[in-house]
Amino acid sequence: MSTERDCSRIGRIVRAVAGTEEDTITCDDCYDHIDQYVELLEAGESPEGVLLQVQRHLEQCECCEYEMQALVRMIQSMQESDDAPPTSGQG
Amino acid sequence: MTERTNEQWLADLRAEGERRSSALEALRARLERGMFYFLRNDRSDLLDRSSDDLQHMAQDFVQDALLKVLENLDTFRGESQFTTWAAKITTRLAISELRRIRYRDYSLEGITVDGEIQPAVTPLAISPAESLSPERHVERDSVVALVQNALENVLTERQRTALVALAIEGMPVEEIAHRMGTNRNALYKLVHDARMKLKTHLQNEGIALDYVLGLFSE
Repeated sequence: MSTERDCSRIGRIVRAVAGTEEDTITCDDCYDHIDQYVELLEAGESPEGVLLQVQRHLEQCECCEYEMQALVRMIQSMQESDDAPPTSGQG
Repeated sequence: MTERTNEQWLADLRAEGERRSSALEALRARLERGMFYFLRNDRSDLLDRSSDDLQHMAQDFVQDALLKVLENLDTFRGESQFTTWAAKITTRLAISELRRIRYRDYSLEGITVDGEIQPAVTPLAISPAESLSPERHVERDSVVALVQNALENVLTERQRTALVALAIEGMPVEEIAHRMGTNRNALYKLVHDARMKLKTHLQNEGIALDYVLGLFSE
C-alpha cells in the first residue's frame, strides 16, 4: 500500500507527464523571443509563428514561464514609474 | 520626458562623453526601478529584506546587466522596445543569481524516486487517503506502483534524476543542469524526452491520464 508521501511525489510526476506535449524550441530560443512575446501580450494580441511556439514552450517550462512573468512585472513597473522620481540617487 | 526610439538608444549608447553617460544613466534608473519593484513585490523569499537591501540588490543586478547590454548591442534586432530587451537581460541575470543563492546547498547526489535531496522541501499537499473511496484508493495505489516501476525501468538514470529533481523537488532547470554538468537547453530536452517517454508508456499501459490526474487532486 502506498504512503501519502509516495502519492504526493508520484502525483507530481503524473501532473508533469500529463501536461507534456511536443515542444519544438529550446529555452534559449524562448529567451531569444521573449521580449517580443511579452509586448504582444501587453498589446492584447495573439501569438503566431515562432511566438506561438514560445507560448507552447512556456506552458511546459516552469523556469521560462517564471522569467516571462518577471519580465512582464518589471516592464509594467518601469512604465508605471516613468513619471515618478527615482527611488535613489543614480550613478 | 521624450522617449528615445530604439535607434536613439543604440546611437546614444554607442556615442561618447555626455551623450553616452546620459543614456546610460537613464537606462540604469529605469531598470533599477523595475528591478526594485520586482524584488519587493514578487519575491516571497526576500520579504524579510529592508528597502535599502533590495535597492542595493537591484543596483548590483542592474550594474551587471548593463555590462551585458553594452556588450550585446549588436545582437539587438529591434523586435521589441530597446528597454524591454534590456529588461529581459536584467531579469534573466537576476533570477539566475537568486536561484544560484537559493539552491547552493542542494545536492543531486543519491537522489532517488523514494528519496529526497537535502534539505527537504515541503511536500505538495494532496488529498488525504481517507477522502478517496476504497475503490479509488486501490486505483491510486496501482497507479503509484506503475509510475514508480516506469521511473525505475523505462527512464535512463540521468532522465530519472533530472525528472525527479524538477517535478518532485521543484528545482529550476538551470540549477539541475549545472549539477549534472550540462546546459539548460540540453537538460530541458532530457526532461522533456523523459516526460514524453513516460506519457507514451502509461498510455500504452491503458492509463487514461485525465482520469488518473483526478486520483491525485481530489
